[in-house]
Amino acid sequence: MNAAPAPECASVPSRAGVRVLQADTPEQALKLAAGATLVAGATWLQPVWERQARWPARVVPLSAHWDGFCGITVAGERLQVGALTSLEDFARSPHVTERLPGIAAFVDRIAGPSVRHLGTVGGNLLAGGDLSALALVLDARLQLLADDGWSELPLEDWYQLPSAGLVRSVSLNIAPGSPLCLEKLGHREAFSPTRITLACTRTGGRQRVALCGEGGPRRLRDLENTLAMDATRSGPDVCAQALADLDWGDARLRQVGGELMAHLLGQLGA
Amino acid sequence: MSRDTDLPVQTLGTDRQRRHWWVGQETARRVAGKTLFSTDTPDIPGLLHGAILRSGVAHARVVSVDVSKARTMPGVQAVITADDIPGSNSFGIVLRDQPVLCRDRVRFEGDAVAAVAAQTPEQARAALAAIGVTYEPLPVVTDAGTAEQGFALHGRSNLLAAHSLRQGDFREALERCALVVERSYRTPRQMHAFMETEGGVAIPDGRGGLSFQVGCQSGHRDVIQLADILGLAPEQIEIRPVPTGGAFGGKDELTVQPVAGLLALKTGRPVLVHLDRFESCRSGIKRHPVLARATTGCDRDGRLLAHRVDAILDTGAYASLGPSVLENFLDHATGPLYRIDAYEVCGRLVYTNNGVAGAFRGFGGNQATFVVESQMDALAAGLGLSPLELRRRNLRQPGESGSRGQPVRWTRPPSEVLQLAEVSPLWQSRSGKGRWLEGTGMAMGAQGNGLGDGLPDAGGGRLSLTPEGLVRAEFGFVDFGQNLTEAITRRLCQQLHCDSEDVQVVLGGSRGPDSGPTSASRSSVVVEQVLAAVLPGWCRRLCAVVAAHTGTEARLLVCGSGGIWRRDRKERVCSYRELAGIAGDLSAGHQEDFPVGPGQEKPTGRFLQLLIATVARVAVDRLTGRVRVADLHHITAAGRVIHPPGYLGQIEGAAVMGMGMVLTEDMPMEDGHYRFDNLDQYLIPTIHDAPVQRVDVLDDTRPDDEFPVRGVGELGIEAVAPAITAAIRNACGVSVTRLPVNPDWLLAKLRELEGRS
Repeated sequence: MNAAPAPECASVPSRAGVRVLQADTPEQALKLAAGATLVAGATWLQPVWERQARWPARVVPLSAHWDGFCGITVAGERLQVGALTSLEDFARSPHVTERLPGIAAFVDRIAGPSVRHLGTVGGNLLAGGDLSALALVLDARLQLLADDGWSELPLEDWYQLPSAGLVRSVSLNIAPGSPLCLEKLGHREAFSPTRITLACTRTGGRQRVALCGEGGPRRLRDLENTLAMDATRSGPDVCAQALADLDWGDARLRQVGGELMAHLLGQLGA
Repeated sequence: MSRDTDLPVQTLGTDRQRRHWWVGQETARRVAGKTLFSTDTPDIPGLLHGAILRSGVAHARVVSVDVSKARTMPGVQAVITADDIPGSNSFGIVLRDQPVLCRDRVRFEGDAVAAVAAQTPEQARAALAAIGVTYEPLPVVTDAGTAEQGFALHGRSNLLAAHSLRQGDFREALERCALVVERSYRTPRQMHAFMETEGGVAIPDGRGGLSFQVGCQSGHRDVIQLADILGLAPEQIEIRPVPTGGAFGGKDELTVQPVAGLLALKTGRPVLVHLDRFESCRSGIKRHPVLARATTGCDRDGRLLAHRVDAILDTGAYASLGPSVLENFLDHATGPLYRIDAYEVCGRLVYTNNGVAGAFRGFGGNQATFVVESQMDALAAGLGLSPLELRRRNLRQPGESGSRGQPVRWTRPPSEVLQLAEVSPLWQSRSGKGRWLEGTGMAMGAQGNGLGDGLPDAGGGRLSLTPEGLVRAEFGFVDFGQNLTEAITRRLCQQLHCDSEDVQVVLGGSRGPDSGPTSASRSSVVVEQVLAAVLPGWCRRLCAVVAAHTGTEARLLVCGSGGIWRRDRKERVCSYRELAGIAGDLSAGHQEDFPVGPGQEKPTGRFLQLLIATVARVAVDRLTGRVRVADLHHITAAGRVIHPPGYLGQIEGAAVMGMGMVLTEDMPMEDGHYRFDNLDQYLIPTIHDAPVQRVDVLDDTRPDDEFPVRGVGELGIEAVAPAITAAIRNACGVSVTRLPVNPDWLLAKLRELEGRS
């Protein structure tokens, strides 16, 4: 899904009753979105609809043909990723494999092949999926279309205050020489919803840490500041406390998260 | 022969073997997605869509059911309740205690209350939503351990069955023990997770009867139950042979057949009922969760003296095959592989409002094997012996009776299976430091084929020649992907020296021969019995007909590729097609009881036994407690391999299923409601989770052996759970007694052992 949660839409009891509204432009899609559901890959929405046995009366499919909505380009030290780029295309992109090594293997753990081919980078980010921790440490910025036109804002801000609009693309900081460490703990080894996903990087001598999972996506600014003052304070307990400060309720998961985060920071240091 | 041992063992599925494997037409069709299953929307004129109203409540009295509005809904052709059932409103293989449509009481959230047939699925669902049901809540029984003291679901008590098996004087033997281990175990409520959810079509035959195209495991048995429900004679009901998209025991019991049949009778039109995954999760059969307490003791030398198991099996709201599962659990809980001076194994099967449990690959046996093998490992640890050595000292030998005093027939001695497990390469590499802790463990399992314990267990089949010149083999077994079609084809080709193109296998029709249920790993044995009894005489008949027709001496004729051959000139004398044209009915059938041990007035346990040792290598993450199963090595002794890909598929597939039970699979309940309703919450292993597997076959059974083959449908799951948990203990020192393994719990235990808080 490439938009903030839509207002309540009318629903129908069968998939066959869904009316598909075609939009020629993103601006038109935004207008049609009133009373309809914007749909990108719909890999998350479909099971929800099926479970409820209710489908939206109207959907507006987003088009990968719209300018900037699909594909990956490099502009200086930023990677520009179209929101409708599939997870699979993102993982296999030469730009990504060259600048963010290890991402392909990581994306393989996000979902099965069918979901990877349908699911989009934008959908994953806006749902707080596995990519959000990665995007947060890479200072992701969203290009958004809203009623008042195009704008750009940090993904971190969007998570704090989701605003209505259509995400065209996300740009990621890929400054050279910045090591990146990722870790996912799911309910099983492959293709599982995340319990906790962690990402760490170091840019300009400063460590950046983010996570997502059962407690939601967050950039760990306080921990980053602590580490900036004293890099040795990267032990499991300090990291677990960082999760506690974010109100991650599951004590055991906090412990595991602390262990993993300390491990990643150790790797980063090495 | 293996190069490393004198034993007759070979590894199955090597690259070289695979290059020469025959892939049957049925497999090719299935892999290509061309196989039509019972729920592939059939092109049947006038087809209606049925839907079932589930109670959605765990336990309640039904005060009223109002279907008046639903009957007026668009597209609705029929709405039925318990009042519309012409016959008996109950079903169940062992005990008919489950209502087709509940009249005055519902006992679990998946109970059926009413059903609708409409022109479209959406109309049927809309009509369900318009049915008004008033419930009066009843106390909900959710804890199997205290169920017997709870509000009775049936009759006066929630105790459905209590059995025990005893040998010797347990208490006396316990006093002689130098070491005793006592532990509690828990195994999960596992879901079958077949690809094709429960479903099928009921089609009126125009003469008041019905035919069914439905996913099932025993057409003949289903006919009897359906006749009673539908108020028809059994002859008026036919189960047509169609492939079923996976079963694993979960379609042994009736599923949608009664409702589809009732709606078809009511409307006079074909009705398709197909549960979606959500409804399948909420209403389908599951594996019995088991709570067990085990006490096992031995002398200083590790000789087993005393063994006791007390178990409670949660069968949920209805019996289904629960009593038989309990029996098989107890059979396996005696530790069939080991000599034990005295044992007492006791089990109680209780009703609760937790869904319904029934048949599932392993059938209670693998839960018991987890308990027994874990106890063995605990004893070995206590004695400072290797787990393999403790087993070696206690294994039964050929010629000894089984644990219940019955004659048993293995294909190789258990000690040889253990010997091969001992030299598994998986023991070789191990790293004890760093993030991932590697460990290797093993467990053994014994399993018997057939329904066992003297239950009626006859099976038959028929051979004939079709007008097109095909050798037709008919069995009542259902094809649900276990490669039975290929196995039968291959066996016929081996014995008739014909080609697979000469053979037609017809499975699952209730109007064909009754082979008994497609369960209990019995199909291969029955097929072998039938072919052994029928083929020699049938071939002679064919040759005699050709001899009479051509004037060639019958003794010079043999069956072969495409027809009857003259053996001295190696030329074909008559094609099967020509033969079909000149001969009359050439069919020949045979039926006999499943093999039981000789000299038993009332058979006990199971006679035909097969063995497995599974060696597992795992890695435990010191940071998260998660477990990766890296390798599984199975050593099997299960008679001759008929169809190597099928054998491999059964062992490997069952092992992955068992691995799921250890690592992720459970259907937890909360106040009588399933917490999961889809495969995005209930997590089964994916292909990426599947470990590297090696399957070794230990066998030199002679072709003329009276019992040359065994059914291997359940063998692979038998020992995999205790093998994995043994490997976990080997890796990190933590003993797992509750399945599935909770990574958070494992991490906490790891921290305790490592002295971290």
